[in-house]
Amino acid sequence: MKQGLKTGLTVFFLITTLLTSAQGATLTGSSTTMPMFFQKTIGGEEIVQAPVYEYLRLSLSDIGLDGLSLHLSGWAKAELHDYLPGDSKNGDLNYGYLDWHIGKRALQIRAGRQLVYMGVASRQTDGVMVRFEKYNLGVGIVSGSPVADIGESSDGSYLTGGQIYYTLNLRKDLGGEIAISYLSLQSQEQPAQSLTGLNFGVRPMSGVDVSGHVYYDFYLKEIYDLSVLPVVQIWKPLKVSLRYNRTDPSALISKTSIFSVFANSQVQQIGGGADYDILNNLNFRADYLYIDYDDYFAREYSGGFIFKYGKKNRNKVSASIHRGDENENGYIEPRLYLKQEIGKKFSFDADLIFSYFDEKINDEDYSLSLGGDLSYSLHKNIKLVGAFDYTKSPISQDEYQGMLKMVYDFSGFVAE
Amino acid sequence: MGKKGRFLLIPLVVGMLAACTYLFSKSDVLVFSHKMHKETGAECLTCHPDIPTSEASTGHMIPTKQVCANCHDEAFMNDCGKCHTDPQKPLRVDIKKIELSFSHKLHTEKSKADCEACHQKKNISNTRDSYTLPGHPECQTCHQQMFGELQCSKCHLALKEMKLKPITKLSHRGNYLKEHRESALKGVGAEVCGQCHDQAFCSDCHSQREGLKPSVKFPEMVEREFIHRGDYLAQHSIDAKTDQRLCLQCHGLSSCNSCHAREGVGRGSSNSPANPHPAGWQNDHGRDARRDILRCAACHDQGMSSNCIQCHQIGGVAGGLSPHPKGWESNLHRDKAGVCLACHK
Repeated sequence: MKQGLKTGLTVFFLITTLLTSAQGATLTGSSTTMPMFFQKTIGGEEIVQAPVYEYLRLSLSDIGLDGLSLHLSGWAKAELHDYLPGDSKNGDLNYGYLDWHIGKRALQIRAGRQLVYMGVASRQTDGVMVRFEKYNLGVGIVSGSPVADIGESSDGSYLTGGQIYYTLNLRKDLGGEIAISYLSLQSQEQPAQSLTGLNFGVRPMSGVDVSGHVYYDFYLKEIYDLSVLPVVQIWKPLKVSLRYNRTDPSALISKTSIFSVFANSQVQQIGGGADYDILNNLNFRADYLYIDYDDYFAREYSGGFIFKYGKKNRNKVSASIHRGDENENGYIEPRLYLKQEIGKKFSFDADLIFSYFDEKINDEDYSLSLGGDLSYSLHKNIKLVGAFDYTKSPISQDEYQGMLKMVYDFSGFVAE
Repeated sequence: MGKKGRFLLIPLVVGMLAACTYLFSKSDVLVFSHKMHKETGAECLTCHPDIPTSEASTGHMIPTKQVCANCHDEAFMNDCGKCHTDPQKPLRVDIKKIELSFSHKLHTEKSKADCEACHQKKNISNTRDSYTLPGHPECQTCHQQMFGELQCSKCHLALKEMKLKPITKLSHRGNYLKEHRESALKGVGAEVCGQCHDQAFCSDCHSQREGLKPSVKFPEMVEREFIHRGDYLAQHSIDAKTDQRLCLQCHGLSSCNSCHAREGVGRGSSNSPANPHPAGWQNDHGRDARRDILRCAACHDQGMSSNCIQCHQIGGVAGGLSPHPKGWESNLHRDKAGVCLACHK
């Protein structure tokens, strides 16, 4: 079945359910309408784009059965000034599912398009997810069609997966979770992926958190993804983290992809970070990542200060610097941003980003972006945002972007 | 009925009898009126004398028999039926134990011993009433800011027992943007995230089918520290070589392909300025494919129509050069794997 037809049927089913069950139901959600304007020059050619986006998010509870609710999120676009060659999506359903919690939330059944988070079985899926939890032990099962599989069309793909997890409660805030997950993916009636994984997150002693995962591929017969992330609160204002990850990139390609026969490299990442509250409202953070490929390496560094001020520290100024480099090029990117409330209804923010490249790109060695926006709360349910961005970069000489955003929050609405 | 049926019937009947016994058995009720006691001139603290000094939430504040005996005579105290409707099976008053950081002493001082500021009176009948234990609505009348700032751990010491994680575990400070994946993929990880965030919050960034990148969609939320802000277009080729796996976590390979095709990058001959490959690169493409096959797949993966097959298949221009790395062997059954048949017909 084609993906578009499946999406259409899901939306039809959900809207029918919505209409038949809306009476007396409590509605929460928001509508965001965004008319936008882009103007840029690439290779001397001026390009103008004026799309209007609509994002809709709905949740409907109290729809007859106790614990039953309906959730829907999607977007649509209309091009007022057509410039894009080829195909570009004009709308989609991000998720749309019926959620049913039974017996003090011990049993959960979810049907429809949803984001599933279960170790190796974490996919955006059109299907059914069932989860049961009792005495710190939980079991979850998912079955359906992946919405978008990496690198290929999901047409004709079918997945079955699940997770068993245990929550360990020690004294006070000590304890953790351990989970074992499984995924079997079929594509065009052929076995495409068969994975199992172990995910964990434990706090063995106060101030120490260790989380990570080990994923195993039954077809490659190897551990294709291994990750460990210890985070230590050395003392109250200082938190330090370390990171190790090893991945086999070929595992990210489905076994039905022709590219699965080429790769054999391993990528390793080693890094760490620190987060220090110099004062109650002044924070410093820095992190570093070293990425080791078969025959080259890459690095990422970043650091910065955040200063909060004003009523309830809602205003802030941040200054940061980021550097990324690989064997052919690199960049250094200082950034400054400000967020400031003006009275009760207005807020303003500005964002300045400058990037300097080690090697020129299209004969330019830097790019510059300046953005800002003004938000106004027109009503407790209505917010207006006007945003403007200017970008000068090696790809587009001068780029202007403007947007008006209207957010309507209809939380708490009860259908008569 | 067969032998097997009878064996099933016995536990069913026993279970039903047990359920009926439980449901219809007369349980004890405590006959007590706060109102009547107040009319005699007693104050709350007369019967709950430990309240003004208690600094723990776990202390047992129900009056003991000894406290009752301060006013009631011996004959009253020995007649259990005065208070219990079923003295044979006296009800034990159990108050749900919640580990709280809470001081009755402090609250008594602040409220000037006005207990009803937190405990609501509940009338059951003329001879029975009780005071409820305060819930969040009562706390919120004074502690609105703590609720607003999610300072749960200021009161709740053991949030895990309440299916809520301690705020220290949910702290989004520091490098949380890069660390949150590990939290979300754990057993109840996503459920914990769901206590505050609905799926829209995840799909804002993680959906591969969003119309706009999150930084454009939410320009007013700089505090989310969006990636890809400003001029990311020029930078993305460097980041893709630095850590492409990070790109794939959100975008998938298809998004590279569709954007490059749409914008004309990679089209035309190798002399085209839009072609990302340098001159003569074809001679080295095997090395680069081994190093990072995902980069090739980003643009060239068209299933069995991929252009690598044209040359590498048996009988093709490069048919004598095996694309497989050293020691490579198929883990798929050849008769089922169409991918093998693309070259090995």
